[in-house]
Amino acid sequence: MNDNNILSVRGLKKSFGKLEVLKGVDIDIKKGEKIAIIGPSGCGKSTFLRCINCMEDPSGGSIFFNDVDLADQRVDINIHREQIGMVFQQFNLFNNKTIIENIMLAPVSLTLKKIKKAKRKNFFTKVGNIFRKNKKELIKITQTKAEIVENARANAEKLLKRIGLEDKADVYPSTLSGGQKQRVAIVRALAMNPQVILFDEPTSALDPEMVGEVLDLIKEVANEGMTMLIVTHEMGFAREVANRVLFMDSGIIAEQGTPAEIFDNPQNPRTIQFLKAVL
Amino acid sequence: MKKIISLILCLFMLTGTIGILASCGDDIQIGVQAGTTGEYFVNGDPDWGFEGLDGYAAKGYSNGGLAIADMKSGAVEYVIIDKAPALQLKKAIKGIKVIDIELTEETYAFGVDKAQADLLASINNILATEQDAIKAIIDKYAQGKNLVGVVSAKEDVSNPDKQLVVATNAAFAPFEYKEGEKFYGIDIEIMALVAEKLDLELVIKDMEFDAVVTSVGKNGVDVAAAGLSVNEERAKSVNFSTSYYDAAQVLIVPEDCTDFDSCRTAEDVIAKLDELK
Amino acid sequence: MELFFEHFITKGGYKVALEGLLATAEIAVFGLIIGILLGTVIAIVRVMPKYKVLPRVLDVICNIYVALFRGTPMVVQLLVGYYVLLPAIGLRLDGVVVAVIIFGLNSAAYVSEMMRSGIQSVDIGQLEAARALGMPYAMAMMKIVIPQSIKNILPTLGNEFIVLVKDTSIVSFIAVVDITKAFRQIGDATYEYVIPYLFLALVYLVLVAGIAALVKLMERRLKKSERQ
Repeated sequence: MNDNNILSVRGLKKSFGKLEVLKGVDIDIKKGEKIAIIGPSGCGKSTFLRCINCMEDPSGGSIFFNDVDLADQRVDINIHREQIGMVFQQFNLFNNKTIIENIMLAPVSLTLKKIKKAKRKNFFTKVGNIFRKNKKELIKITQTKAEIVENARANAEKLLKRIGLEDKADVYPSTLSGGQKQRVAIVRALAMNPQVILFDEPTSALDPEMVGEVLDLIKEVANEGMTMLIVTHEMGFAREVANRVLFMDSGIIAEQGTPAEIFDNPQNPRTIQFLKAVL
Repeated sequence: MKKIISLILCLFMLTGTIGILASCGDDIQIGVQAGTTGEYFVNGDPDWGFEGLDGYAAKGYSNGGLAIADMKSGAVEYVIIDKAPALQLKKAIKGIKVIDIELTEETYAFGVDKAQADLLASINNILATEQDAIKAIIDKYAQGKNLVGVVSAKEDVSNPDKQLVVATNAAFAPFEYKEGEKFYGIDIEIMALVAEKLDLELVIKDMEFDAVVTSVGKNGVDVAAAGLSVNEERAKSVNFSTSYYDAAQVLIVPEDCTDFDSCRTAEDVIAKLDELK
Repeated sequence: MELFFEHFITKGGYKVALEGLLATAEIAVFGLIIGILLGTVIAIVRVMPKYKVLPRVLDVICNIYVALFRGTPMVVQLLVGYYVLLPAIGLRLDGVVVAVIIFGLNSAAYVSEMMRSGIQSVDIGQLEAARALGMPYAMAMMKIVIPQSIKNILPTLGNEFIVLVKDTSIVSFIAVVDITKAFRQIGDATYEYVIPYLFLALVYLVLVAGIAALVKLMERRLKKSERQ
């Protein structure tokens, strides 16, 4: 396996009942790459994206993320999902939490959970050490609960400031516009400091006048060097941001290349047909 | 297929109608307190040696007062209940008449937990040595004077050896009834005497009469004191003490009913009932 | 009427009635709390994805549990619990405690069904978003899905509470004095049931109206909190 590859997908298959949506997808993604995934509806591009963090369990094949096969049932997927952010078409902000809670919830509760686990482990190590000659080392716990919450809050405030929504910190999602919601959803993913972010048609549910603000934020994140996969219908945006474009059709990657190659000089007849229809 | 379904439906309706006719068409209803001797007397029960009243069916109530209320509204024809409560009811309710003929011969005793042989012995001992005190209790309830109310101690689940837990159904004056927080009655005062002699706290558990006998030996209940008539069926669940009261069932009728005025013996009453059905 | 007031006030019937009211409240409130907690767990088991063996086994157990407690009258559960099961394992508990447990277990079966439809009414995207952030299934359910589903089913939970309050009238079977028993006792002492039972009905009406008002208030609060 190439060390530069953050993600390597091999022979990925997914069926819903008898319907085979993904028929074997192979791709290597290097750190810092921005991949745009385009294709006609029903081609499997969303399913492919959702298989990467196992939102849909793959029916076959492997997904190596930092050399760990996420498709393996024995892998604790939750740990790896923390490293793979996801942004949904429908935003999916937590309706019962305020904006700042939406951003803080996962970092705080997951860290607390880890500390709890570490404490439990330390307890057993201590008990075991009574009988051991060479004492086992305890896991160091460096932060208190208050510190964790404080850090998360500071980080969340910084993120909200960045998208200019600091005054919305304590309101509930139902009062925000679609564009504001999606920008919060993006910084919610960023709050976990992920290595990759998956965007599942991030602008499809937005009113046209709000598309720009969301795309601008995604561009900003891209420019900071984040690795990202974006399923999108915004061809102009794909061309501008992506350094590689995948055209998917009937459950396979039919063609891939730089934006220039795909948009200006497509080879596959299906790609040509699709681009003619959308451009 | 349709034919079969309609046939089955017809069959159901037919059996249903017959069932309804059979169950309430013929039998005359007599009100009783559920689970008491009266119920078995009306319906018949081999364990008690009762043949039952042909053409009559018992309707069980949770206490005598409700049965009387239903008799006055016409839902049941008569009420059969223990004699002492019947006289008490007569005092409290207008428009009823007690036919003062003892239909049965029975005795009341306390039902003691089978696992506590020494408690049974102690109770029997107290019943024997304190005969005068017990007679005094029974007499004063006949007159309705100098009655002593008993407040149940709080049940202490963790300390069962310090308490005497008594199961009763406090809707059976003069044997047990409740006014406010205080329990009164012959059984209650005898049990208070027993508790005092044994140096125990008295806990009174007031429950449905149906449940009184079954509760003994379960959940800490030591004794059933509820005007319990001695019989073999109940003796399977509890050990009866020596009896402390001779009881009988009597018939209660509406005041304007003169059918039983000529009766002199239990046989007369039963013959009359047979005639009236 | 005078007879009733003599027994209710002069002879201390009101004290028994207050005690009975307390018992009724205790049994209904704690029963509902157990019902919500256990019912939620059962509901989660029943909506859990069932790829593995353990969730499937748990699902079967929960199905049997719900069928058992919904398929038998509560009074039977109470009698079996108090007079059969407890003595069989040699445990002695206070009648109120037994009533709370049985009411809780019974209500769990009903609450689990409500909760299940409540969970299913929450947009699946909420769960997905939480899972995508790395939260384990249980955490995502507890922090995101269940709070929202409780809000959705609050009116039905209120109804369940009202049912529990009214059902407490059966606890006199196990020698617990509730509000019904307290008033019936006055009837038993006076052989006059009309007035005590009318008063009893009035007490229940006031209780139920109070609960209904409380539920409405909570609903409005919850709605408001998301619109500020």
